[in-house]
Amino acid sequence: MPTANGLKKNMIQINNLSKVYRTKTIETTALNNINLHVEKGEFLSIMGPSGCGKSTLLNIIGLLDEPTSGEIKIDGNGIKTYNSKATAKFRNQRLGFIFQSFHLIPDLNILDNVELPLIYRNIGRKERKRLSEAALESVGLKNRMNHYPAQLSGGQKQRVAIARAIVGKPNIILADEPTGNLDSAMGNEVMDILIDLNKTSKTTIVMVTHDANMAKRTDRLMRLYDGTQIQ
Amino acid sequence: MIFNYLKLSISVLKRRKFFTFISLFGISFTLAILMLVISLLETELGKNAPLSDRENLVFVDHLIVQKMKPDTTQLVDSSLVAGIMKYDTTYTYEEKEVNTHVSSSNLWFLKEHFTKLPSASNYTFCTTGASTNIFVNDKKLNLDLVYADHRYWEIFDFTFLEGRPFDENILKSEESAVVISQKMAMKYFGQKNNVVGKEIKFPDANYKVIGLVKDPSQIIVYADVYLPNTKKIGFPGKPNKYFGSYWGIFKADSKNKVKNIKSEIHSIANNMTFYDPAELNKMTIHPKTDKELYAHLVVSGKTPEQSKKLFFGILFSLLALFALLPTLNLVNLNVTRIMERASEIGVRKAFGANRSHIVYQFIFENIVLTILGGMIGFIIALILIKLINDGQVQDLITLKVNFNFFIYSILLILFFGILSGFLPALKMSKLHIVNALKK
Ligand SMILES: Nc1ncnc2c1ncn2[C@@H]1O[C@H](COP(=O)(O)OP(=O)(O)OP(=O)(O)O)[C@@H](O)[C@H]1O
Ligand SMILES: [Mg+2]
Repeated sequence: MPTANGLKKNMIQINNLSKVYRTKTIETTALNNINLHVEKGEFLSIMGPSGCGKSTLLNIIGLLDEPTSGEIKIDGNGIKTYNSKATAKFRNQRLGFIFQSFHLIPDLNILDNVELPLIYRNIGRKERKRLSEAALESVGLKNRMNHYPAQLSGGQKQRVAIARAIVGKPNIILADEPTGNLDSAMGNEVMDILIDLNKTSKTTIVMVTHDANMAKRTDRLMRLYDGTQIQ
Repeated sequence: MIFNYLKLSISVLKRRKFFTFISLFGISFTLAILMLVISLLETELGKNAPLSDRENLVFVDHLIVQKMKPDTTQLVDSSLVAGIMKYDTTYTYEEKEVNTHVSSSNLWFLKEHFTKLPSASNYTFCTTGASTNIFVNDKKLNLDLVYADHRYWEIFDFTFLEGRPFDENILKSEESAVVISQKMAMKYFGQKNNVVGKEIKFPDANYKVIGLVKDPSQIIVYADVYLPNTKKIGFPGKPNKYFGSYWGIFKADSKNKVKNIKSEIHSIANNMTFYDPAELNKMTIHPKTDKELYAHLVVSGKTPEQSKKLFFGILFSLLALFALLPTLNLVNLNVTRIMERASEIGVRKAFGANRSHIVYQFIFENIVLTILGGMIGFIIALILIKLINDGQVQDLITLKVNFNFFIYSILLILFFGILSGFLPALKMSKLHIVNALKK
């Protein structure tokens, strides 16, 4: 594996992982025998044609979905259950998500949206506010914290989503086409924030993208084709 | 956490105005109607004066007196045993009824047999408010009259606004004295107070008003005028007869003595010496508690106890059914509404919410909504109750709004809120994160 120093700790470890969707009529192999190791502090991008299984893989890494077979370890912890309280807590403390369509909660203002992960951590109100304001500050949106998502542009929404993903200081950030709905200027802005985050706080990032220019800026690229890893 | 749920609930309700309006409309009217029913039940069946002791009372509202004739049936059974025909004859002796009378009792009859029940600490023989057309002051008035003895006022704790009840001396001297209710004071004198000492002209005599009571709302004790049962006009009846217009009402010291009173009454009926055994020779009495009495007015089971079960069973089923339809409606509305929020559920789960977080959140939201609806419903109910009490819609009943009514209403609201919130919340909490996020 072409990495700078071979002694680094594995943050994500995936061995012989497959995912098969079975419906009454057809069986789709979304992922076929994937082996992937992502080191702590690494920024990995995943590319591939539509339907090749990128989102499926990212969801499995994020413990949002269950593999059909194979093994997954996050930060040394083997994952066995997916619906348990323990897994919910694990997600809450170690993972942060950024989605292509932002998925901000429309009924909550920006500050409350960013606070979301902290609420499930039972952190006090004042502390939550302080951390969330800091996160919003780092994406340059502190002045918008009392707005509602509908009042923001796409790029701003995605920056809020990034603030939400980083507010709990997770070990891993999983981003599924974070720039997919944005024009290139806004996309680059979001990318700058992610790269800065990766450099300064050594957060491991796995990002799915369709944009080769974005992928170039990351440490490593993984290519998927029809559920199989080709690079 | 709770503060967050509350904040979110309010913001959701504010931002989804149409949904909020529709839900509140349904919830508030349903709850208002149910609260009206609660008030009605509390008024009629609650431990309110003058029936504060109602749970310790046993009522003999009617007697069943029959003529029975012994009857023999002969049943012949033939069978072939070892080639010989054998005949088995069975005789069944049973009593066949020839004649059945059902009616309330004669005052003399009650006095003769029911003054010494060992378990009864007190008793009264009275009529219940029968509506009668009476010429009073040459005017035809429709009045509810109760004929009672002095013990009536010990059994029932009427609120005397003026004067006093009639006592044993008045009964013995057959003095023409009456106690009247406020409605009667209004009807007859056109004033609600200062009526003690005035006279009311009945066909047989002029009666002096000696007491004024607050209008009772319960049917059992409601009347315009309460007269001593020794007066001729009170239909005291004649000796050696079973039937008349009177009830026997017996009071137990404690609730568990109620049973004893009942069995003592049964045994009196079973050991009755009949005035003319050739005429009538079997007596059955179904002594009732007040709830059984109400139940028996509506449904007739084999025993008062059965009637009670049946009546309250039917009553609560109807109420449940009535509450169920809007509940299902709200469940449905909630499911649709929450479905729109699938992506929110997905996001919450992705960021660490477990299933119970989601369930609590949506139940909480629903309870906030129901409490709002409940408060509106409560106001609607109060307005309706006021309209009913003020208007002449229901002359008999003055609906009560008391502490129990308030407590039952709150319980109702919580029950409704949890019930209609739980199913949708549970359903949504099961939503698969990846699918939820696709929406
Ligand atoms: N719930 C599902 N049931 C059945 N098949 C599914 C399901 N989810 C995904 N698939 C299939 O699995 C394959 C991989 O899907 P996935 O969403 O991972 O692709 P993707 O690489 O993210 O595509 P895109 O670039 O368009 O987002 C596809 O063929 C898809 O149809
Ligand atoms: Mg995808």
